[in-house]
Amino acid sequence: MALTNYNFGGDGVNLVKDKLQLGPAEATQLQNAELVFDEARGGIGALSKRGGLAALTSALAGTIYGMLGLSLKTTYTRTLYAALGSAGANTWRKSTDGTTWTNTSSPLAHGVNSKFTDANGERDARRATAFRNVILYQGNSYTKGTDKPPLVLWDGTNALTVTSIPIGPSATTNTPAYAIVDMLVANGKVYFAVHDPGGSGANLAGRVMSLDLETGTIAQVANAFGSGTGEVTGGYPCCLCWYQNQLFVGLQTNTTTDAIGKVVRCYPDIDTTWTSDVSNLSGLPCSMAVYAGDLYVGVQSSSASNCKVYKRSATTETYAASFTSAAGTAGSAFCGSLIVFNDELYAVEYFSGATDVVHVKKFDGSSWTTDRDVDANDPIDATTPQMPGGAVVLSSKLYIVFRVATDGGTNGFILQRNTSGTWARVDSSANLSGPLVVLVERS
Amino acid sequence: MATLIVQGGTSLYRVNTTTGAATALTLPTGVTLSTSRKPRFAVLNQWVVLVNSPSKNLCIDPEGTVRVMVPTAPAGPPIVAAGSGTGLTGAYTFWQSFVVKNSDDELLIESPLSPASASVTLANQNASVTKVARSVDDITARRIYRSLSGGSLPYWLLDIEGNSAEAFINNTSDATMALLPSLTLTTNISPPGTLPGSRLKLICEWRSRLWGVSDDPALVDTVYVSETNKIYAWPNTVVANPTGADEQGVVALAPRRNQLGLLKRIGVWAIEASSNSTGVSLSSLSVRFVGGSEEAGCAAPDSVIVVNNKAYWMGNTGIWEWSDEGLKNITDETVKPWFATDDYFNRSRFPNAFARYNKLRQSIEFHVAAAGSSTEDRWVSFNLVNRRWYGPHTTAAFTPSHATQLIDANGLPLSFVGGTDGIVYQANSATFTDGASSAIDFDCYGPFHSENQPDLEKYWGELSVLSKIESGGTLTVTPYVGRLNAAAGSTISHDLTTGRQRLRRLGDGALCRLRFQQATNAQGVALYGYEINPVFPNGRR
Repeated sequence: MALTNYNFGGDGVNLVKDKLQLGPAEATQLQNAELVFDEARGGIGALSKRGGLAALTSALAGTIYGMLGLSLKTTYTRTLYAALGSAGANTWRKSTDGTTWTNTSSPLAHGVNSKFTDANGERDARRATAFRNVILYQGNSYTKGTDKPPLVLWDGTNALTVTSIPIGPSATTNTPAYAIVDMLVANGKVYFAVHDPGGSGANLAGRVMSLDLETGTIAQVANAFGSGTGEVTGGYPCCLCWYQNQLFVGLQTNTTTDAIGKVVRCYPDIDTTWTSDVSNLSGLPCSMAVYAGDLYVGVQSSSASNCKVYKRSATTETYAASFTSAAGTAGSAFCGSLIVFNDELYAVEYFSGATDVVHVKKFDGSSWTTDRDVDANDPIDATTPQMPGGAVVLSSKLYIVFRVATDGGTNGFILQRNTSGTWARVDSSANLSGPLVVLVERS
Repeated sequence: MATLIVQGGTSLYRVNTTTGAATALTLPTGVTLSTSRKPRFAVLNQWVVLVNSPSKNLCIDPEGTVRVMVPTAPAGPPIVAAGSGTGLTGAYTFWQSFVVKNSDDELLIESPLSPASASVTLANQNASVTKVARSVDDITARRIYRSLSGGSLPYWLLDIEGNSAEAFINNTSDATMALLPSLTLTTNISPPGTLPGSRLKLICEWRSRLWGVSDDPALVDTVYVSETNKIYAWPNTVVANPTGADEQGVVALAPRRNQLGLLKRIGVWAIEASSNSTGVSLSSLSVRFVGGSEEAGCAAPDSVIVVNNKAYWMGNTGIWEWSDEGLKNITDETVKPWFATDDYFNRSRFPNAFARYNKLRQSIEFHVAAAGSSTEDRWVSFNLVNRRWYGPHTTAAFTPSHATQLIDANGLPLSFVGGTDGIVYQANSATFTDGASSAIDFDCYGPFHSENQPDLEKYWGELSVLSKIESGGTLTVTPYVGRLNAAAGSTISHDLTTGRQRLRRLGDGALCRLRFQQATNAQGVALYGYEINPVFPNGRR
């Protein structure tokens, strides 16, 4: 007679029965043993040594007191995208570290300079915007004055046209909009300003619209701009800012008339008309930002006033010049690319004239200083200095694009500033058209 | 990419489960992690919440940014007076809160409201608002609320970006205020762990809400409940009566599909939810006593594991399973002495026990302290397929201190054990090595064979061992032949490369028992079985 036991451990440990009652498949100790339901490793009926505990990490700062397994996409890759201006194969420059830039042809092209209809090419903010995991901007694949400008997106993989801008109410009959001239994301929505053909005199036509990215539909915010009945006069919307739950819009007339600079505001989805917030700024607004609870508005020079940055005080709701350029009026001048970085307000003072002035100015809440003398340190065009374009912050560094003056040029460049105050030219000799935006991809 | 959030020492890390790279996460200014209170985590709406260990409740966004879960509410309201401008007529009240918004300007976190300001009566004047409070936490804006003329409910008015500006004027007409008042804000509280003095000792996600329990001795039977999908809004509480019956109150939370278990040391309570809904209505919440006794209660907060809608936890004298069939002790019939005697484990450390689900092995593993030990240096496993127990297991490589599991980006289940050495280990390695080079000590005692004649002396013939064919290694077999007190016989070595090996005779005795040992580093073993041939009675002595 033989004793056979081919299910040893199959019934696990039993310490309850008396020693003479244990079945052959039971045990009193099964240290570091397990059943593996895999015949290659043992299978049912076989008692196997347990698998090892392999070190995943090096030693952390001390005892592992707690852990949580997180089954989510937690890798965020942020890529800087700078639009190229020519209609070449490459459409954008991109960089993940801010220092190494490469061309890419995958995103659709951004609207080139000729698509905009602002005097001296300097009036429109021309910002692209990032929303969740896409960037949104005006496309280039249309004929100005004939086709509707497309609104396109890029998500790192897909280049898509979201929609095209319908013809405006005050536009020249059946003439599509010129371009989308500024964009921003606020309160979880995408807003953009449109420059329409039409209007009369200084009362140029345009609209501010919102985009529902889930449906691809767009809706007009409050009333239109232009010279028609019920429309807002004083120029087309050229720069946007979200402040105190309201959308503030700077208007553009494409003139240098003094003291007609106008900013309007409204509560989107509630207001049906725009409220004039100011209409006598010395120059026309071209960039806005919120800093320390107040609204700042960069304006162009006028026939009588140098370019300035105005502060709209939250406590008085009145505008007063915070910074005034010393460069003069006898040229093309503006204060643009306003952005808050490292708890300070930055703006680019630009003057193209007898003596060019291109300074990155910094405001710490009490005084303005020149943080970077661009015309002294960077490759400024001797005839027409490159104008500032988009400004963004990524990984505690500030980036500002200086764009080529004409499509096809190659002297655009990008400046980078770190928090310790060091400036560096991180990309140059590129046909940069101005827009600069950060795409966030998640994996 | 799936990651681990890990507290190692007093630091918080995000660990890449593919490479093992650990990235330290920056804690908010002034927040520290305790080494005497275990961190408790929950995940809601892609945000991780961390309580008990931190000096303030924390939340971690998917990218790893750590913030306080609920900013401390403004202590006082803004000061409001009539301004010099025009626009408003009537009595107005202001409130403020602190908010964190994302890059799309969407609200992520909001503190409870400040007290209401003193009402100011305006006669075609604007309101001058000053002393807007600054937050001690990292925030992105202050949110201002205002009543309608003569009203008493807060409507969202505007955000003041940053944490510096303290004054503004306002004449926004009632018609352009937000369409609906922010009613829920008025009931939000600062949950324990927001202010010094008490902490949330427990937290879990159930039905798209967070459920937490305070360590305040007077409130240990009260469960705090967040709003749906909001980690920062905590307007609700429910109580598991009777209160004050046990110093620990609710010891652990066990979220099953349609029930949230409130586990006390003295029994099990549950909050029920409709089976066909994804959320739970707080207006119809009730807490019922599920049953059990002191034995069915929970002894260890970190021992709760829920698998396939069944909850398991360590009680005072065994492991319990709670399913739709009710409460069941799953150790009494097999391994009760593990948990009811002092022979195997240090029972006084049961409150420190922790558990993990090893999905690849379909087993739940409970980590406990060996008898006489002050660390959780043993673990036992419950196989969910055959519902049998294995162990106690041990490792020479490190002392386990916590464990968890996750599903990675490819849908693969992973199981992890953390050590007092600060290293995170991944289970189920095919190399049969713990840590860098520690052998795994396979050590199993089989039953006493008696051939149903325990009183008869027998002859136990040659032993044959059948095992999985390995490339090397030996399995040591120690026979015990005799009565129940038989001494160990000379060891027998089974060559694991043979697959089957006929070994020596075992000898004479009434009973025969075998012990199998294999403790060679990087050497696996799978024992198919054994035979003893012949076995025949010698007679009664």
